[in-house]
Amino acid sequence: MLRAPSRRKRKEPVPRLNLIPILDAVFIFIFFLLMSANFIKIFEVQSDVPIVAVNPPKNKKNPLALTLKVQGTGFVLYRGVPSRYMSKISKMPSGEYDMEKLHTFLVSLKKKYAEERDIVLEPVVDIDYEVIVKIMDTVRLYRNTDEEVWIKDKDGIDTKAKFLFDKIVFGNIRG
Amino acid sequence: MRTTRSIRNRGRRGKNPPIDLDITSLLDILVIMLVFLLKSYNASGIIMNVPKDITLPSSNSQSINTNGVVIQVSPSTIWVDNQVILQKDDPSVRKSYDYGGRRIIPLFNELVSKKNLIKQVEKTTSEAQKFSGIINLIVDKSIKYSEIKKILFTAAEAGYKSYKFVVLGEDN
Repeated sequence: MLRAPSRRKRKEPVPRLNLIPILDAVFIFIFFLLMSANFIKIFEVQSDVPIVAVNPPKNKKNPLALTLKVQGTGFVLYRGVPSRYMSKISKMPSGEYDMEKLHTFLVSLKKKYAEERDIVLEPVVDIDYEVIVKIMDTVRLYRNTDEEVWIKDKDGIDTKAKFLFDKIVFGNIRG
Repeated sequence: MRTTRSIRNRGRRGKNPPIDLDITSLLDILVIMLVFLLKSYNASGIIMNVPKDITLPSSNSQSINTNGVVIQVSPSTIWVDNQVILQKDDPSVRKSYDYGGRRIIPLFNELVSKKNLIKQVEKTTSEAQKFSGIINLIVDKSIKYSEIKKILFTAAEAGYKSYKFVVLGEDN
């Protein structure tokens, strides 16, 4: 069997990408990100200073004026001006505050008062700051498992309420 | 010297191929680092100094920090913008309160001087940051509400109208 005569092929050099500029850019980018990196995720929870108004609010006919008192035995909720008793949520047998029950109650309340976002927090007992933050989380945020509440925005379009009662004011700091 | 300049090696001289570095693995590392750093990028640009005595409480909050005067409160010390204001184990600490023990005098004085300074700078140039009235509170999770109440009251008396409680994200 005859073999075909060998053909001399000229091997053309494979073109190589010049990666130097991209490497330079990546290095600069890394230094910039290293400078502005935040390895511990720190966020904030907002609260406003309570202001005593002389005149009643103009627009709201019947404001909810929700007040949450944190007592030694549990939570007590009040509404209206002057405040009227609404509900009491006792502590769990373990001695901890029943955040789940409070959250469920506030979600049901939000359905009736979808536009309301204010809540006055009044810890009566000397609780830890950690517990206060937990209570603030419970009253502020919706969970994925909560029933959705829809509110009308400025243009009249229905939008999903993102927050429960997120405008927290400590009512008794001057007391 | 003789071998390099010999007639035999004349054709080969200066034709050594350049060393070809394989930078693929280096690029891999850089890309991984880039993704990791992009994930931990701090969009707010605010750096909070948490003293070692302070353990922040964790929260579900996702709100990015805002700029303001920082009060750090540990079980033993109160700082304003990293400057010690009150040592609670100091024997003269009782004289540091007024308004029936509700207002902390050194803290009040420091907050007022900070406010005046910001307002003074504000007047000098239009590009200066305006006084926002924001207080960033870096408080140890074991601090009791009675202590926090005093700080909130003092800040309100000093003319600050908004509190930002600095917390640790849940995914930390």
